[in-house]
Amino acid sequence: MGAGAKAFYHDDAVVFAGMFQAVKKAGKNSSVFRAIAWVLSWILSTDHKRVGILYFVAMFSFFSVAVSLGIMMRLELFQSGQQFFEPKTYNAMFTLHGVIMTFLFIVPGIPAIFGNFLLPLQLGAADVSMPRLNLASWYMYIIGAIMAVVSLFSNGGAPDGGWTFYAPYSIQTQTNVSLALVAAFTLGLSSIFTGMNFLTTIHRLKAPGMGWFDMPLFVWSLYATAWIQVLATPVVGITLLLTVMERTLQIGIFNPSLGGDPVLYQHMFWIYSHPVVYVMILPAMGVISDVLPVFARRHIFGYKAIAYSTMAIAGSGYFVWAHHMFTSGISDVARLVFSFITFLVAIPTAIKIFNWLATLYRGSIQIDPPMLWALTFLFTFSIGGLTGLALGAVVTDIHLHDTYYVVGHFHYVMFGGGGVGMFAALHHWFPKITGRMYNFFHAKVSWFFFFVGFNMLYFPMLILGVMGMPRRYHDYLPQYDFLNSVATIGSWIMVFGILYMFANLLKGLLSGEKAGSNPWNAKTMEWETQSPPVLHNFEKQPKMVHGPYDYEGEWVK
Amino acid sequence: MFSDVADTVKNADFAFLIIFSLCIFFLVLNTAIMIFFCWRYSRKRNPVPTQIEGHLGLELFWTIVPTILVMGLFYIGMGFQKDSEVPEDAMVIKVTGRMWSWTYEYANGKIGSDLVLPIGRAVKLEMTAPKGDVLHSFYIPAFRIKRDVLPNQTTILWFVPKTTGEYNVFCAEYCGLSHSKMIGKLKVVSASEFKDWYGDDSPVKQEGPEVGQRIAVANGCMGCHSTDGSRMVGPTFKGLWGRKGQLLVDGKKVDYVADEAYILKSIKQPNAEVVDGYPNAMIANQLGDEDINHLITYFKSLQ
Repeated sequence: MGAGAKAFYHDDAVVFAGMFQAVKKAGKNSSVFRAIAWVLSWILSTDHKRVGILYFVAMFSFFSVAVSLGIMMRLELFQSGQQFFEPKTYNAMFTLHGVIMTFLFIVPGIPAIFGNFLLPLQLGAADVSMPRLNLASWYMYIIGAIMAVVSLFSNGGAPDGGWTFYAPYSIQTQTNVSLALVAAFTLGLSSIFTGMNFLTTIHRLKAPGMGWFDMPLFVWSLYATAWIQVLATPVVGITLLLTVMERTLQIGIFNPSLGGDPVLYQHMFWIYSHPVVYVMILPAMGVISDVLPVFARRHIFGYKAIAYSTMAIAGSGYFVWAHHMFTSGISDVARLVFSFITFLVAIPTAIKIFNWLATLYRGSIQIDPPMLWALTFLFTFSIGGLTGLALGAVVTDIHLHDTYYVVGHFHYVMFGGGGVGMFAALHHWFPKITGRMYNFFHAKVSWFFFFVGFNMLYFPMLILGVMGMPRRYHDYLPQYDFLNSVATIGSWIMVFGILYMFANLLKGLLSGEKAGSNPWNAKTMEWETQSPPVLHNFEKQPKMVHGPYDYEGEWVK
Repeated sequence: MFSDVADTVKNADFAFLIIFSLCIFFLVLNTAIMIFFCWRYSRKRNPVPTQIEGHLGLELFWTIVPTILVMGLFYIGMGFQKDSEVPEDAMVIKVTGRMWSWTYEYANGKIGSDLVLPIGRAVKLEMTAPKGDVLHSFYIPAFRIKRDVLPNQTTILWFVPKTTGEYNVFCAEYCGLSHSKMIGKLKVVSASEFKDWYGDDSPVKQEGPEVGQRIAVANGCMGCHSTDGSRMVGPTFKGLWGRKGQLLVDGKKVDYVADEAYILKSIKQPNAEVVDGYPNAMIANQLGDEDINHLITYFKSLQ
């Protein structure tokens, strides 16, 4: 590794290079132009690493907004009766929390940040195969996000109805749903751009000597995810456009008052939105598959089983959508068929869990922060997956549907899976991205607060749901008081943990020790270049000399 | 769990017991294995790792065992109340869900905002929402049953209540401003009590203010307007006739007196003028002039 070579953020690969050079030249004499040139060097950059960081900054900004909304919702639900917010405000808050968390954070999620940064590095490539399209995807994301934010403050007020925008409510409500839907549509385009880019990159840009089964499992998970993004997103795009047309042109598609069918909306919505659940979780599974072997110092157990089960989940995720609709009035037979297929999808997930556990067997385990987060994933995601079983069985789903059990379940999956996976990735690749290391002790203390708060927040929701408390309730009967108070207190502890974690990472970024190119002594290809990497990643084209989990002959001094 | 309040409960609670037991078993097992491995194979205790790339037998084992288990769960999950198995002698009750109340109409025309049922008799609810309304979901947690209610379409739900008592009815599908207040009561009573309350199947006769009251209940007015003076989403009906106050029209405050013309306009164009201090939340309805005259008679009786 060429020590002393310029890190990627000191080197420019930009679109509109002529304009950029002119601004940079002007910057020699003017601090204002120097600042503009610096901003342009980021937002015009086609470098996949910079695009990944642009996504990071934007997504975590929105994440903090949605977390704040979540905290306010929990304050309102601290006890029965109205606490702080009117029903109209609360209804807008849960909708925005859902829309931002889903469309602006967890769907772009790990692929947009860590996929962008790491995919070419892990393949030994200089960039993604279409760098300009990659930058364009970020702009589509930002445009969609701005429209979503504008919809809060423009005519009609903040949208309500929940992130699912079920018809006919979404068609009749006077709030600003149309703009929010166009925003979601634009974000879908961004998602398709990223998916296409990753597919072509994985097919075309593997390093010499690297076959399909030599790829890190994180790459496999990005590959499966990209197929879902490309194939499923158009369906929701059409659905959202039809809803906008129905609102503006009064065509009867979903609205029964105009002769439409509201259940059709639910079918179309979930045909996209169920597969997209796997967009949120598969990349996190890929992260876990890459982190566990590094800290257990041994080969991943069942590489092919994990790779195949990743593809199996992506492929079968399209056929289970109607398990979101067991109470909608679909026939007995339809409910049985979709329940059956839903249970089949549980199997590849179980296979993964057992393979990860087996990866710990006879390893040489050191629980550094990334490993701590990866092990946490095994616990919280297990709760998320197992609580799904009662939602797959028809007789129990009928009771639990649209209750707080569902809210608890999907937060364990999305946050306990996707979110915790992202935090594992953050701690694992932080030294590669920044070139510096954070403080381990504070990383572990912040994890402790997160873990305690997280379970205090979401586990009571599971019990509340079994007790029959419906979701999207501004107020509830006094019999649900105690567990709601516990959950609200949990939310404070969890958010403290998150703030603590980011403070520690920020301190690491500003004043951490130099990390070196491979602080974890890992075997995947991104660790073979310097930290942070140079503009085109590697000084010369790397070749595949050992597998991504090849720890043979490895022992600790 | 295992309370025997309705015929739907037993299968659901049995499935809950099996599924949650299995969940706890696997969660404890997996977590225990994880913690044990992290302790036993920590770098201190096991400095030299053993490279194991996989094991076909194990892969088959943890593919086949979960497959068998989830097929078992699927089978247990089949024990739900089938739409195709409604008993022929079931008592049919028409349910209307609207923003934000439930109303029930019995065979003899009796209308109420509480669902009153006799113990031990099969009930078939035929549920719908008015044109122009939104989705609701009829949910009785104690009975473990739920079914969406759609405008312009009819969905059904059937069950046999088996223990007398009062139960909550929730709306489980988001339906706007007062979704969380759309809570109704289900009263299961003995057969004789039910007969006293219900009368017989001959159509009920009503006159005077009662006709207007029936119209108010049947059209869900009581979901937002009280009759005892308490404040709900909209102003109370108590003392409405002749009330003086202020309206908000295009952002300006205008005085009003609740006379015939005012009430007629408030019902026919509910969003044109709104009483100051209340949300503009009333949805359109199909009430005709004659209905409204009956309502006015009813309002006059509520002084």
